[in-house]
Parts: sequence; C-alpha cells; structure tokens
Amino acid sequence: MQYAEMKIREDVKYDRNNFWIRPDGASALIGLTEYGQWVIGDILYLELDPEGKAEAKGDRFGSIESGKWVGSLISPVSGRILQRNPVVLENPNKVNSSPYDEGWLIKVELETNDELGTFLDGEEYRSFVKEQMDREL
Amino acid sequence: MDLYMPGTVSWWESQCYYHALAYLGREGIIICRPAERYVCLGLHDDLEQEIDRNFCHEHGLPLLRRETGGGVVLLDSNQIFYQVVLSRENPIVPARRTDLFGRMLMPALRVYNSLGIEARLVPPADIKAGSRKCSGNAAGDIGQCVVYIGNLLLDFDHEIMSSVLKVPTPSFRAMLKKALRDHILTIADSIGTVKSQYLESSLAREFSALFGDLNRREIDAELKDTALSLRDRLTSEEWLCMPGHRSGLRSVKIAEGIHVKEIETGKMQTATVLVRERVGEAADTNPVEVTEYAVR
Repeated sequence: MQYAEMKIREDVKYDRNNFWIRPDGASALIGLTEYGQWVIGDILYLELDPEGKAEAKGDRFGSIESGKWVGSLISPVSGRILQRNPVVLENPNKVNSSPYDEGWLIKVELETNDELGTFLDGEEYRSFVKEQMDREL
Repeated sequence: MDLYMPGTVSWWESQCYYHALAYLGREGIIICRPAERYVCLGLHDDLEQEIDRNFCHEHGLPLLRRETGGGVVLLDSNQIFYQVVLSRENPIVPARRTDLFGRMLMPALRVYNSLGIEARLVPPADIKAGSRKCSGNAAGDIGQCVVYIGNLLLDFDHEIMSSVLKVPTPSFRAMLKKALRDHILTIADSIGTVKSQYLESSLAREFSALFGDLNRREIDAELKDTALSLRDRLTSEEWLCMPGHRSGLRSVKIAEGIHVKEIETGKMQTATVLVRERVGEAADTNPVEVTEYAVR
C-alpha cells in the first residue's frame, strides 16, 4: 500500500501503536487504523479481553494473528471494557476491510479524560505514518 | 548478536529459552533440539478442538502453548530448532513483521541447499522443496522483542502426528496421515542420515553470514531462572485450555495452500477432502471446487 492511499480520518484521535480513539462523553470506541491493519496483514484471528475488564493505558487487551505472526493489542487508554465488537470476533477480516467503521474493536468506559490530550490528531498521525513508511523504504 | 548453542535440551527448555530472552529484552539466536517428544500449540490454537489429550497422556507427550503464531506441531529430537530474538527497536525489524520471514529463513534455506535439497521460500513462512514442506516457521511479538522460530526436519513421525490431532472420523485420520506423508519432506527422505551437529554448525555459520560475527554464550542463570518460571505458565492447565480459534467443521493445515478438511455434502452429511490451492480432492470422487474455506 502506498502512503497516498492510506485513509486517515479527521474525526478521531490516534496513538503511536496505530489505534484510533473516538471519545463520546465518558466512553470511547477504539479500533486499528488503516495503516495499523495493513501492517498486521490479513487478520486470521483475534482475541479480546472480556467485557467488564479494567485496563490501564499500555496494558494488553487482546491478541491478533496474521500469516503465522501473533502480536498484542495495547490499550491506548485506561478504562473498563464496556463492549467487544461481535462482528470482528466472528469475522476478524472486517478489521482489514473496514477498520474505522464495522471493524472497531472495543468500547471503553474512560477512567479519565486527561489521557485524551496525549493523542495525535489526523495531521500529526499522517506525519507519523509517513515517517514510519519512509523508514522502511 | 549473541548465539546460544546448548545442543540437546529438555522439551520445555527448547521453547522457554527464547521466550525468556524476549521477556528479558535480550537479543540472541538459539540453536537447539529437544531431547523428548512433545506437542506444542500456537497461541491461538484451541486445545479442546485440536488435541486428543487421551492419546497424548497415554503416550507421555507433554503439552506447551507457545506465544507465537502457527498451528499445533509435534516436536522431537529429529528436529533442529533455530530461534531468533530481536528487539522491536532493532532497525531490521519492520512494522510488517511478516516481511522479515524471508531474511530470517534464509539460513535454513541455505543449509537445505547446501545438502543438495532444492528448497525455496513459500510466503509467508514455509520452506518447500518441490511441493513438500521441509521447515515450519512462526513469529510473534513477545515482551519488547519479536521472535522468529523454525526448524530443520531430520525425520518426522507422521503416524504419531496424525494421532495427536483430534479428528472427526477414521477416514479423516487416514487422509491426514497420507497428506502428512505426501506433503512433508524430511532430510532423511531426501538424502538419508545427516548428523545433527553438522546441521547446527551449518545453521550457525549461515546466521553469522546474516548478522555478522556472533558472540557465543552459554545459558546463564538469569536466562535459566526466567525460563523456569515461564515453563510453569506455558504448561499450566489454565494457559493450555485458553479458548482459541474454532471452526465449525474440522480443518487441519498441512502446509501453505494445503489443508485436510471436513466439508458438508448435504443432509447433515460430511466428507473429508484434501484441499490444494482451493481445489478439493476427495478419496473416491473427482476433484471438486471448494468455493469457501478458511485459510487457517
């Protein structure tokens, strides 16, 4: 995938582990960015921690597998998992095909709004992705 | 880059040292082989679906779940393991981890080639000679590191492997055994007996060509202690029984593009087929196009 083709939305916040965060009052939806899913490749399976579990920012909240590689999903925020997306648990490939919409991962009750100020906006994340992609050329 | 060549180690050590290196954040390459036969699950394998625990118990086969991808494997002293642990910050580690398989498998590929076996890389992570797989590989992010693991197959027991896996019918098991025999190639099949020490030193030489001079080290106390504590976790009942990837109908991956699958034939009936590049071959019918099947 070329940098120019990478979809980066302006209505969400981003972290440097390639998650998007869409705050909505005291909760937030979290998913992988288009670049994040591309980096992982075709997703064969994903596991998400159970609803009700509290996660601190930086904690592992699940794992993901593609092409014989597995890795951890690292929580961008502190909070409690309110909902796991049943669509991606049933069909993990939705994360590849619709990362910002149908392919969201979890809904979290935020422990604090203070962490939201640490995230990147669309423009900053675009620069971050370009830097990552240039590094590997 | 550190190189550890402990030779023959216990079954659990053959998995726990690379996990230990990764959790300690220490880069290194381990070349070893297990003294005993055991069964190793991938991180997302579902033990209940995959494994015949009675058979494993009766045959004294211990179980361990590793923290990398790939499926269930039967491991024993006829396999030489190579395990590469790299820091996530190492500039050679790409964001797309699977892109590094090609380089990490090059040493094993060259060893096969040096033996006169015309092996080649089949993405993402198989080494094949002709249509037969001769090395299984996997990777995973563990701690602050990324690990790439694989093996050279001196020999392989298809009979035991086909019995370790839980299958729905005797015909499925028969096809599984045949598929393993037809699609896995060992060094013994190709050129006969080769000493494991020769293969281990050949691998070390090839990894040195890839990484530059390697710093030979012994397994130290920190590594051993960490590996011991990891053994308890990676073999605990809770960890082994963690739910994993389940499929409605049984499917066993033999190699990239080759699966033994149970398929619906209508009226609550199923048949076993060997699926090769999406074409199903039943034992007693003409080839059938398999329009939908899981890639795993």
